[in-house]
Amino acid sequence: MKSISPVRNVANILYHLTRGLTIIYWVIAAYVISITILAKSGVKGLPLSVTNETRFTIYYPFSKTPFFLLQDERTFLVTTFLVILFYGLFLVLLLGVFDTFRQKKLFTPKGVQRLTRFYLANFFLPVIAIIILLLMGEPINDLLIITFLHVVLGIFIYFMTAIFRQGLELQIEQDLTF
Amino acid sequence: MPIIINLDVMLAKRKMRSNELAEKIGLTTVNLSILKTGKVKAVRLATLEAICKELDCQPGDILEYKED
Repeated sequence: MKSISPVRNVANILYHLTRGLTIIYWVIAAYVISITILAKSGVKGLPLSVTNETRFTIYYPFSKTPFFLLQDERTFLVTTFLVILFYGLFLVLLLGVFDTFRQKKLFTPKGVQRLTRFYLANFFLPVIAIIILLLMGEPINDLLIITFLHVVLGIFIYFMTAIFRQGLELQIEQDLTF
Repeated sequence: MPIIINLDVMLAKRKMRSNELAEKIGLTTVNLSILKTGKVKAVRLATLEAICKELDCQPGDILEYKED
């Protein structure tokens, strides 16, 4: 009996962990974003309280236990929402990458496509976010390091994708060798 | 593609069906179809040997070179 490779085992574990994390993340993100939007629209009776003029606290649903602190400033809200959306997308794309590595056949067109999306997202989205903030006249100092790290990750995955493309060509040749 | 695979011709001469040959040489019918249409990238010597043995022919009866 052929044993499952260690790579597939690790990828399997990471896939399931990331999937759980992604679901939790999106539930929390949807909760925070919807409460904030509703509060800004003037809806009453929400699980939130205003701490002072610029700060407010979102509570856990149906409780008074603080869950999330936000500042009612355009910079903070725009940056926070951009970060929330980016990392939500990041987790979904990362899930795709782990799923690629847990397949029996490693080099597939779908795998190359997933890696491509992952490096493009890491390379371009943080830079686009920085540009949006600059155009809004907002400071970007806090995001520069994390943007740099994502660009580096994007470059690394770009090289890995090139290896996978080569692997895919060899796989096709192998599959069409009888 | 300059290399033409004349498997259909040999199968007709030997009055053998594709799925019969596929089973005898250990290929799937799908893969044998791909082989017949010439869409393969490479053929193993072992596969060529098995085909020639079952069809009682020479490699030259199966493979033909025709310049584009």
